[in-house]
Amino acid sequence: MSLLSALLASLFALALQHAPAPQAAAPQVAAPQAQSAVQHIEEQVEGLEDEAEHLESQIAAHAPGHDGKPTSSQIFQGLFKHLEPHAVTALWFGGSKKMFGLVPAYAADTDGNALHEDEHGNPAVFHSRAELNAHYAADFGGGQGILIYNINTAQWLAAITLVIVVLLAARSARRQSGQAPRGTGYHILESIVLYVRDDMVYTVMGKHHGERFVPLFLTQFFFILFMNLFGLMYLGSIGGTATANLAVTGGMALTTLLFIHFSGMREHGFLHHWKNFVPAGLPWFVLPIIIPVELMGMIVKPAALTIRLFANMTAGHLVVLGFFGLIYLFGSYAIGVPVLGMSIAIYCLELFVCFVQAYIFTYLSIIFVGASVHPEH
Amino acid sequence: MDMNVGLVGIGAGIGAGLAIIGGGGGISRLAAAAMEGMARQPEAAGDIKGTTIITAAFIEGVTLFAVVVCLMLALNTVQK
Repeated sequence: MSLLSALLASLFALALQHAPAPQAAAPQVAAPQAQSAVQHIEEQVEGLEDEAEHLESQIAAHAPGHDGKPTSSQIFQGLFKHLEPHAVTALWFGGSKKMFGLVPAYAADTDGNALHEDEHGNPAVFHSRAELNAHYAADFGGGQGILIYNINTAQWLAAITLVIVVLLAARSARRQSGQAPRGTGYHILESIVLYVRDDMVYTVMGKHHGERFVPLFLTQFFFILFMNLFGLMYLGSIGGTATANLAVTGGMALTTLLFIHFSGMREHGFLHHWKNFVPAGLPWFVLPIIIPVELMGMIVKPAALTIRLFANMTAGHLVVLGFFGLIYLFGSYAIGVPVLGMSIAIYCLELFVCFVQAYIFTYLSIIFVGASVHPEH
Repeated sequence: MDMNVGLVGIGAGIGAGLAIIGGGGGISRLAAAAMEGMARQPEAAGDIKGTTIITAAFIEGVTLFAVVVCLMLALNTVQK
């Protein structure tokens, strides 16, 4: 009986190769059947060896760059990783050496050579502040470090450019006061500023309420626009699309949320602002339905702003990445010609989307803040 | 295991396609109505244009939510 079961089990193991080895069969074998038991174990070992070979070949097929030919999905995911934020440098302060300055954002030896490399041969960067501190704390005798990501540098670049452009325009406006304005850049900026002020803020909020908010929405519009446009440029490792990151767009939407409530409370007073949540004159029994709905609306408004901007900026890049992935998928240079044309077409669409998304984010913020400042409209 | 990954990939692809069908239908209806309105009342073209862009952005936003869900589904499953 046990012989039969052992034979059956080994046959199954041979046939399936993935079936778990029948552990219970071997100890039951009596002395006269020892030879068949040995044979059975040998067969099992063979089956396991086959399985191991099979698994090894599977691992080799999935490991990137192992046999020099990664699959197309690996290539696309490798390209996709470039959309994710990565640390470019780190700021270190404190410690017994009174250190304050920039350090590499990757694990390095005393000469500054990278200790680890990723699959592209680039230095592997830290992923968290804890990793950074664990690596450098001994070198500097304590202290703390902060990772600086490419989206941080892209934001600062956009902010600095914005300040420079606006200061130049303001100087030019002051110098030319009383005359007809001159200069192409000045005209472009003036027309956009006037559009935001007259056609966006004043038409929704009215001149009386809107005048105070014009600087806020101008800043919001130009900051988002500049971040979007810097995202289209190649700036090496410090560049990146800051608005293709949920944290950045979430921060921008949080500004809108704060202004919805602070300006509402400032206009109507604390209690009256929160009473405006519910339309006046409703019977009491609909309140249990209306209040949760309005609370949900309060959260959904900035969440929708966040995801809309993030998804729009990511989607364009993804499509361009997908087209570039086609070159690797087909493995030919000839496919690069149509890919180039399609990529440029999508890139032009992205340029349009940069302006439209900045406009929509600002316009929706104006509508939300305007509804909070005078809810009867 | 491999079959499940394939099914998730198919599901993500079909989901993205369905989202595009919905979004495309919505925006095309909106654009058709806006053009008709502008042709009937050219003096209201400015207002109609602004409202059209805002509404189109809403539709596009909802469509992109669906596409992001499909993308996360596909990337998170295929990676593992």
